[in-house]
Amino acid sequence: MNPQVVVSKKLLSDIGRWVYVLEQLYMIHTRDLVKGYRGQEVATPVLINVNIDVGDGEFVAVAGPSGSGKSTLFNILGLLEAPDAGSVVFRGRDVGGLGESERLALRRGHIAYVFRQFNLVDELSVAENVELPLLYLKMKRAERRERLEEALGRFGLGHISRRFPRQLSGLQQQMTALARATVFQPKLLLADEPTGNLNSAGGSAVMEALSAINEAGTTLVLFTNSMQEAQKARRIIQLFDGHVVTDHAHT
Amino acid sequence: MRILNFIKTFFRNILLHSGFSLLTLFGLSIGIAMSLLVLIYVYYESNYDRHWSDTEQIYRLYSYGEISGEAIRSAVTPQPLASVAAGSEGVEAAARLVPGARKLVAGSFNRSLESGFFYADPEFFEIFDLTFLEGDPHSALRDSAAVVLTRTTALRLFGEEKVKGALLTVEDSSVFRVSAVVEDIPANSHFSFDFLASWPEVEARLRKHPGDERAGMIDNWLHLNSYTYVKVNARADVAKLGRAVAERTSHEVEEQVAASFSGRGEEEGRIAIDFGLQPVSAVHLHSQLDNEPKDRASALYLYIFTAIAIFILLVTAVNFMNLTTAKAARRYKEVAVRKYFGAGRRMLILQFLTEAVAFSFLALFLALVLVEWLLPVFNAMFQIRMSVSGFIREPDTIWILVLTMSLGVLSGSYPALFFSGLKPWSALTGSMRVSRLGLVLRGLLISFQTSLALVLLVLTLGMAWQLHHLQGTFHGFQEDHALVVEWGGTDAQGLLDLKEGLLQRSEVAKVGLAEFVPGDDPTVVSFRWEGDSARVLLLALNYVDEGFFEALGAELVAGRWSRLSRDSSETAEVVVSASALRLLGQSGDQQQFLEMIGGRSSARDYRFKIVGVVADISFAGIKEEPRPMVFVLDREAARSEHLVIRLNNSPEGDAVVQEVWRELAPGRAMHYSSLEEVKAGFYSEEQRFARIAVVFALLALVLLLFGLIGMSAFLLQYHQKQLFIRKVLSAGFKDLLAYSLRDYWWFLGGGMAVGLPAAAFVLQFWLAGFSRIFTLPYYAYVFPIFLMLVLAFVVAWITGGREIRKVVDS
Repeated sequence: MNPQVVVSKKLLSDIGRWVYVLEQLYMIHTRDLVKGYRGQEVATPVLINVNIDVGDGEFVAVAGPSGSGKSTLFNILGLLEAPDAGSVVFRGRDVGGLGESERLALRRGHIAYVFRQFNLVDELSVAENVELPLLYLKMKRAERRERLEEALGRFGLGHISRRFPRQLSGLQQQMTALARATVFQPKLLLADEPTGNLNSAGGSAVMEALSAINEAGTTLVLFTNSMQEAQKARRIIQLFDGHVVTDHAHT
Repeated sequence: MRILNFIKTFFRNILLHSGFSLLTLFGLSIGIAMSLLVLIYVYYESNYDRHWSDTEQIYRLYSYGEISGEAIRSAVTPQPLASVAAGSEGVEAAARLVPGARKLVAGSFNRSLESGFFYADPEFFEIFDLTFLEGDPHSALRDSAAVVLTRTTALRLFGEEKVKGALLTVEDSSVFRVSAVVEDIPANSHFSFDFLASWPEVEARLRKHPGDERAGMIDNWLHLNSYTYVKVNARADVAKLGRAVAERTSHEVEEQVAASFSGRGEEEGRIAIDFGLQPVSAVHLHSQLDNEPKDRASALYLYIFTAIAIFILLVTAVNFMNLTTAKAARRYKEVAVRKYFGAGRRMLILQFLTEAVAFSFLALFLALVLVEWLLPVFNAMFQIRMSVSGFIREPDTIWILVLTMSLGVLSGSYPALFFSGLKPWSALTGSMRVSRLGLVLRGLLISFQTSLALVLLVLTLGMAWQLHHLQGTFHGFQEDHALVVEWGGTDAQGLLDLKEGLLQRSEVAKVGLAEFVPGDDPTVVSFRWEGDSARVLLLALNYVDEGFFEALGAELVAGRWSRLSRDSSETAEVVVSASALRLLGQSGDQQQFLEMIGGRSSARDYRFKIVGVVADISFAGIKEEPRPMVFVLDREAARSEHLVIRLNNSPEGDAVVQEVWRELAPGRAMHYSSLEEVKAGFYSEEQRFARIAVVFALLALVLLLFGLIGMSAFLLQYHQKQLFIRKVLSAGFKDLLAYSLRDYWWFLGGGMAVGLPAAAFVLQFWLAGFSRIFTLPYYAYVFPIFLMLVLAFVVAWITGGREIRKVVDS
């Protein structure tokens, strides 16, 4: 674990006095997280009392079989969905009571996502797909151009930047997705089975790229059902039937 | 920058899914084009007489009052009224305008029978500022025998525009000097003329007949024959002016009544004529007067049309929403990705609105091309002269842009809210589900469009049925193998010679002469019935010859046709129409006499004995009750202006008539029409609206088609998951198609169930304006239903079939 230590100001309720305390600051952490889905007749619990701490700059793998609650946890850590109970704190801020627009403001420019299905916009070229997040950050044209060039270069996409997703191989598509995810230098990258649609060579290339991204300073949470991939992380959280089964560092 | 990105994505989307996008675009274009056409028409009709400068200061005087309980509301006024108006406070100028009869007019280049010959006071051009190509407005009508031509008329008769000073020969007898040439009267003016001659000519012509009522017209307050216009100054109080005119004229009218009806005491009080003022710009749409110089339009129709235009736009917008969201799944991924990477709800709304607006403008462009292309067709169809250039100019351009913008925003609003509200992860994983409410709303839209299309189709059929049967009804004359030919008011001997000449030919069966023939608006004159001397009766008066009734094919109901007596001491015989007889309340006692009021010359011309009754001859169609008419025998063709020619069934009939005409009336242009054409002309206005209804009905069908395509596409997407499940359970192609589209048929059927009684109601409403109604048979209701079902089935088979086959083959 690599939590940052910060000084924060707190009100002591019993004596009504402000004191300064030392606190550990995580990139994101959850406390007693509960989430379920209500069908028409039965409610299905998906996450039960999940406590996860992800420190700044960490590479954490969340491993578990289908149905273990990975996707739901992905959405909650990605600030896309709110839990039914418990708290989620992103960079020191409790996001529990926040509305959609406030969550969006926290997400924008800070959290990036990579998916198994790549999810590139078919109507946009490689360069335009990569540039997309910058458009929503109201960035100046010159700066956008600079970041774009840099991202395309980093993932070896320069020569195919004008192509459309349907003209690309699976690996090229995932590399484009990685470029898109990192072009705005996010604090946190959530990757949902990013190698699931690739062959083993492609998978390794993507895992290497992800490691490089993490080494460059971005906190990385990898969701996977492959223990082999999970081994690449420095810490593995195992999820089973909505419970955290193990959470241990790995070297 | 972002906007550009949106538009880029939008166009790539169109290209990527070109079939469906083109369909959507086409639907939108048609909707915009149709509503633009309707709006151009509304604009054209509502801008009548707005082109005069100071048009709000121009008023027309009209007459109203009553004679024996019968109300008079007429656009024409007595001739002395203008001078009274001119002398009133606040009036800058007053002028009379009076239409002349059709005349044979000759210029240096051409001669023809002209109907647009009018006379006016010199002040006419102070009121109406026409553009002068030659001559000047102040002197143009000052001299007697001066005539002003419009540009087109100058070209027609002289072959050039600059013809000031040239001589114009009228009826081979009188000569006018062209004093000015003006630009053609704008088509949307309530009057239209080709020639405008100076006023002294009117008086000179009237004075030619001393002793008869025509000479009396000059100073007679009870003779309504000319249009009177005034231009008031900008600060004038029009209500006060109206009171002043009323005050100054009432005495004159009273005196005239006393003089004309002298010694008849008690009924004088029942004859009253007053004069009112109406703004000239209100004439076309809001005037409710008789004797208008041109056909009026009803403001109600314009309100209906405006409502239809707005309605078309609404349906178009909703269809657009339907079509864009029906294939929503295609864009789920894009929306989800944008959301993941920082697009807020507002940004997505902006994106989809931008797309819809861009789409609208693209559609507007196509629509303008369509309008430009369709306008000549519309003009021909509705007999008007509209132009895009007259409509599309500032500030109307701005209106079109605002309208298109609003249409874009309106049609984009639902897709925007729909897409921006998607949960990104469920959109990506495909667990998205459209609510049942969305389905119901779309379904209701389909029901509504179905009802509308059904109403319009039934209405169209009902109109066609009614008009077809109306025209098949006996109108008091036999319209086959009969011609009416115009002669004009001069050269009675020439007319008699022509009649004789025609009768020599074996192809001609019968020839009659008349002052008025069907299609004309006969003069109405006051009569008194000796059996009921207290009542003044308003009857149309037509001078005819002895051959008229048989040439026309009229039907004698009672008595015999009248004969001209050589003995001048005998009372003249007349035939009256059946409705005139009803008005007289005649009970078989034929010893009583009918007397024309206001007679000044010999009693012989004013006192008649009824010898026969003719079935009502329709002069304007049988929409309305027939006008009671008295047919007086015309001696020596003095008043006759038309020939009625009955031909034997010979293919050369027309040619023979023309040949005789050329021989006996050389150089005189022949203006004739068959009685069949005359009869069709009675219903031209109804035909026009029937044609408009056809266009709207077809449009409603096209819009319904788009609605059905959208609905079936939506339903297939809505049921997609179920389709796969059923396929796995070995459901066949037909089972799947029937399953996925079952709601489609429910909503269609619902629309028809509501539409059917609505259609019957609307049709009854339209039919209420007719005095005779032909009930539409039941199969006319079945046919549109059948047509729509076939349409719906084809749409289901094609759009549904394709998607289902994909499911089956997957």
